[in-house]
Amino acid sequence: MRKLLLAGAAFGALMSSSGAAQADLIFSGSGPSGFLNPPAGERWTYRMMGTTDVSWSSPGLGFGLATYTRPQPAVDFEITFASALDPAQVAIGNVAMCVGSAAGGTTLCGVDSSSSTLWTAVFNSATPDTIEFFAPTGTSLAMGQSYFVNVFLLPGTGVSGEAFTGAWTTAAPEPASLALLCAALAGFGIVRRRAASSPPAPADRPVGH
Amino acid sequence: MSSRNAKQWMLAVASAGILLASSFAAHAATNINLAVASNFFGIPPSNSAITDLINAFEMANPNYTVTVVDNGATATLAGHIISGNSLKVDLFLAADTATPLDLLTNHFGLVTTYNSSFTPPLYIFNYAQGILALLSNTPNVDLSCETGTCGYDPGIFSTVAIADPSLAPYGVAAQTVLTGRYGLIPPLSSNSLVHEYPNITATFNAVIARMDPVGFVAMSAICSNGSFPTLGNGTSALAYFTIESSPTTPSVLINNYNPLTQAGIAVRTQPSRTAAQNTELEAFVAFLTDFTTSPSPDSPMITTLKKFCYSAP
Repeated sequence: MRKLLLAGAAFGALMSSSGAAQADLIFSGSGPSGFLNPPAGERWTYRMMGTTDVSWSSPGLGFGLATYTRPQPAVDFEITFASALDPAQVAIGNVAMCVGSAAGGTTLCGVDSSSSTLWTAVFNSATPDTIEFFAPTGTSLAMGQSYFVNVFLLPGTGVSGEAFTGAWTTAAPEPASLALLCAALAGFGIVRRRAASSPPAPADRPVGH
Repeated sequence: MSSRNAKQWMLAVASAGILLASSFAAHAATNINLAVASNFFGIPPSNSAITDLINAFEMANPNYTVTVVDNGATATLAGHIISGNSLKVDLFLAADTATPLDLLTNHFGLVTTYNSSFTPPLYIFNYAQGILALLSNTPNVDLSCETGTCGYDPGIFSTVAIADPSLAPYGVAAQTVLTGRYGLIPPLSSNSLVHEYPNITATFNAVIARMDPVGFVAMSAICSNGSFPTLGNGTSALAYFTIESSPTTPSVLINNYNPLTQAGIAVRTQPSRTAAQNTELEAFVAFLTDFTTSPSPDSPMITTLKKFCYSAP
């Protein structure tokens, strides 16, 4: 019984650590500029384009690249504003192939020295204040890697400096974590089998004549 | 064989000899050697001001050839001349006026006049005036004033590439802009916001390879007949003129850097140049200093200066 409890505790600990690896790294902000990962990581900036077209970007529209500063690799980026996004800019970003700047539309790209990786934008007109970007299958954004994300709010609606919330979602458990999980499950099974096949403990024997 | 036939044979042989001799003379072209500053050397054959000029000069003067035997930062080239001129440079085209003047005043024995028919003899000539440009090849960098950062901003860009100011005049100009206009703390060689490279072409290559998000380069490297950046030479650029008007309202004049006037000087060689080489040298300098332009047709020099976005000095 004690072994069973220990195995259960180990399984629970592994599950909880595995769950932490997949957690959302939540951020929020408002005002002209700040950091998604304070005090100095992942800068973001609101910029007015012309008189009505407002952009929210990390590090900033036309400012180049930001550096991802979290230990856990990210595979998903979601952000929600108080007002709607511009669907036309989402369409531009889907085909602009990581040009960025004012011509590149709403987009998120991982960038290294020789190439850029376009993340898939998912925008639902039923929730027009939110957009989510997914890394291509098998890829992620690791600590120290460069990226930029540009989001254009609907002209005439979006307000520079308005509050926003969002999250990076980190990658699925790494192979080593999965191996540990499997080992724990196997151990759990073995302990149960042994417990089932071994004679009952003296204290558990029925008392009788 | 009759005496008449023998005479005809002798005439034919003599004619052939004369023709061969003249043919050899035509092919024994006179040559002079150049040392050329990186910005004017560019990236031959397609993006090189000096290559265009040599081609035009040789086409107009079939008996002359011109060979670039050295290129690099101006101070590096001067050092090669001072340390023995083993490359036998006849003419040094620098990226400034100070270096040729230094050779003339402090190393007079190493230089010579390029045109002895003038009194007093002429040693130094100006051949071009360059422009500094801020360049990027990094996605999402927009240096324009309409939608971007309107040039350099030390609070935005992690590093800026420049040519080593101790070697390259374009590096000196960039250093003046960074310290004078943007308040960077000198010496820039130990400033974490600045990466220095041995010459202006190495600086350009670093920006193109995205080793730095932005860098100050020679406009001639990225410009063709007024358009910049040309395809494959970066994604965003902004011209930095010697003196320019600010984008603010009301405008104010901004002094960015001292003019990038580029000068040349003739260099002594061992053994000494032949008379034919001296004549070619004089002709080539005359070619480089023919700034004829509108309302007359542009000279080859003006055509080349315009193509690579220089101005006449």
